[in-house]
Amino acid sequence: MNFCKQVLDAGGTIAPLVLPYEITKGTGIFNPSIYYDDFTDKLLVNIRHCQYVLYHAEKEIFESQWGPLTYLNPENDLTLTTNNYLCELNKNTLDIVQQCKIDTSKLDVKPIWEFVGLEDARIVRWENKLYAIGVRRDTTRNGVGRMEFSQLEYTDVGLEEVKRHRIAAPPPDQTYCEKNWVPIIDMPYHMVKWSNPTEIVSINLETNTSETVFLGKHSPQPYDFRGGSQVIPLNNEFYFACMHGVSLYSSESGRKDATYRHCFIIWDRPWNVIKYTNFFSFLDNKIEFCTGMCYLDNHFLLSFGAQDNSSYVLKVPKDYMENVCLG
Amino acid sequence: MLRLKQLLIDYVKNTEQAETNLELAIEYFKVRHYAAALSFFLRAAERTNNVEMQYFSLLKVGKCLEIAGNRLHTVRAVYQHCINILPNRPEAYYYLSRIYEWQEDWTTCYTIANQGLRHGIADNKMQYQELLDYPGKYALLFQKALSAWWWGKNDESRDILQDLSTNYRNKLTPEFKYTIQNNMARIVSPADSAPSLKRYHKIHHYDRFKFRFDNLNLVEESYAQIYQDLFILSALNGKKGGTYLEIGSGHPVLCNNTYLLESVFDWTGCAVEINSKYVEAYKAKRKNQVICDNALNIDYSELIKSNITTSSNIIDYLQLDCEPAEVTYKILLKMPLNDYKFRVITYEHDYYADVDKIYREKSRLYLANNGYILVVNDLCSDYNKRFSFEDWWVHKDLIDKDTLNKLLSCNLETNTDPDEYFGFR
Repeated sequence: MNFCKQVLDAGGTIAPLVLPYEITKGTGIFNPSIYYDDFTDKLLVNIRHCQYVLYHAEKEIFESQWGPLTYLNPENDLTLTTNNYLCELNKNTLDIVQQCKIDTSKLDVKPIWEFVGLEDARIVRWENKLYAIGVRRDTTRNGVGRMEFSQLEYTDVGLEEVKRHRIAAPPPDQTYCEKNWVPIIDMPYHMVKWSNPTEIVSINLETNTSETVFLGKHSPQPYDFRGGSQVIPLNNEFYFACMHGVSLYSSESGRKDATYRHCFIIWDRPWNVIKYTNFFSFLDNKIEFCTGMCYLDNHFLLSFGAQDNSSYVLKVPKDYMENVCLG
Repeated sequence: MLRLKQLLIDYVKNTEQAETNLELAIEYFKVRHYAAALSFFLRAAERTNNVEMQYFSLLKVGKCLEIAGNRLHTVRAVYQHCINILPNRPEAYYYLSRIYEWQEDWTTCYTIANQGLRHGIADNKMQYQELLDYPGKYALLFQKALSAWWWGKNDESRDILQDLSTNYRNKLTPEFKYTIQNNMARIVSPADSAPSLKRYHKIHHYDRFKFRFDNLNLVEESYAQIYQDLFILSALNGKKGGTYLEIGSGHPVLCNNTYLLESVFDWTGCAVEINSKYVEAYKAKRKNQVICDNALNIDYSELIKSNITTSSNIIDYLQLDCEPAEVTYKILLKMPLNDYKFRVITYEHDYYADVDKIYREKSRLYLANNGYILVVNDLCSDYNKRFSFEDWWVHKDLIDKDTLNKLLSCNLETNTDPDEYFGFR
């Protein structure tokens, strides 16, 4: 049974996130990152918009000519360009009440690789500064990915990126692509870089460097854990996050396909893993990606994308979530 | 959003049921979130054994991709899935032929449209049929006509368009009516049918010319589309120094009704043309006045008063030649026929392209009620006399009776070949 159904049965709700056609032009919005900003008392969600449409024939019956899983870019634009829209949600209905494109123009430089823009940005406010933290791969000719902190400020006309920090990987900083580091919401400038084994890094925005400050032990699991939602407190005793695992495989005709599944990882305060929940699907789609979680009014709110085409917020009663994670 | 939320909840409770996927997809489509709609249409198609639901869902997948734009390779493949699922339905052929049309692959566009007409003959309404923008068989016929033209099958194209405007006019959506009318005007119009500037120049034709008029020896060639200039001179016995009002002049020489009158017979007058390129050419090539404007916006009493010297408020020639038929008729209604009389009028009713088939009769009634006599009806430029586009009129009080009797060749049962009329054929 998919997780959303379980949550609905437990008294939760689900809401679709829809941006106007004038913004999307019919292409996908996905990987939303929800965040309750107690500084402004606003429920925020950052939504990623790209110019591709994911065509995924999950049962491999009506495949495109390129296979079951195809990223359909415009035929005259092979870049994968991301724009981010920071939206305010109605706390009750979870409808978008305001959306604002993050204006990055002041800090943009000409991209020199095909993946353009800040991808899968998670929202967090640390020390009164609002950040979208994601991976950028357009600054080198071979697509090296590094986490970037994009500091945001509201202006009279919208929302502007005012500072940008490209963070080196922990020494020796020789990896090809760092992505999906997730912020620990109440530990400023600390992120879970990897979750099996748990690796926590500390970020220094003065030097734009990172340092591993905790490394746990590996635990055999059916999937390689990759990043997901922000890491948030649970019950004052624990931290937890919704992480994803990917299974990549070939269709019968040898073409690529994939399944994404999620689980919750629960840590105690010294960062020992207390529990990995069972892997689950949100909506029984093969491609799903949760990139946001927050707590508000006795509920946990999870934001996730499905098939890279649509976005949702799932409102989970606190008791139910605690039972899933700690029961 | 409320309905979307409810349908999302329905879906969550039964994610593998095709119907819940389909309903959610339709709602996403309605709120114009096409990428999400695509995902759920595709899921619906893969989760049903109902071939009509598969077919419908995949058509909508294609539609979502069409809207997202510039992904035609995949759109094509999706519509090909549809044809393979239900080869007897017409919609996928139509959609696919349009893709080839956009890519200007005319041979494939024609082939697919033709296959659709032959094989896509199922006309029962499917569930959700109203959500497909397939207008009907005429849409495939139009695709075939259009692609036939660009493939060089011009006669076939003209025939299909004629068939559409004659036999389907009550079924056409306003958009299609407009499109067909425009294309009729474009690809059937005599203006585009390679007019010869040398028709009258051929001396053996000259010998056969039925209507002799003064100063005929000055005429080396007719510049008009179908000898309108010769008709005017025939009606007015080769009058020199006449006057004209020319609405929709087009090119100043090529297919022009007044160039011969001005250049050889010293006529004066005023032309109105909306196309600034033609106006510039007119100014460069012609002595007489030309005005660049939309003919529907002009006060003709003022225009005549300011630009045409008249005697007893009589002007020798009026040309009415705009498009489409409705526009020409509206301009006719703006003419101050109570204040001014025209000896000769050539009126382009564009009956071949008038999908409503009403403006020719309206113009005839109006001109007859204002004292004009229909001398030659339904002139065509094509050899087979299929595409009638113009009537020629004279004022009953302003034409010599003997001349009128010679010129009179009105038979409303048949179209008129101008070459036959003048004796050239």
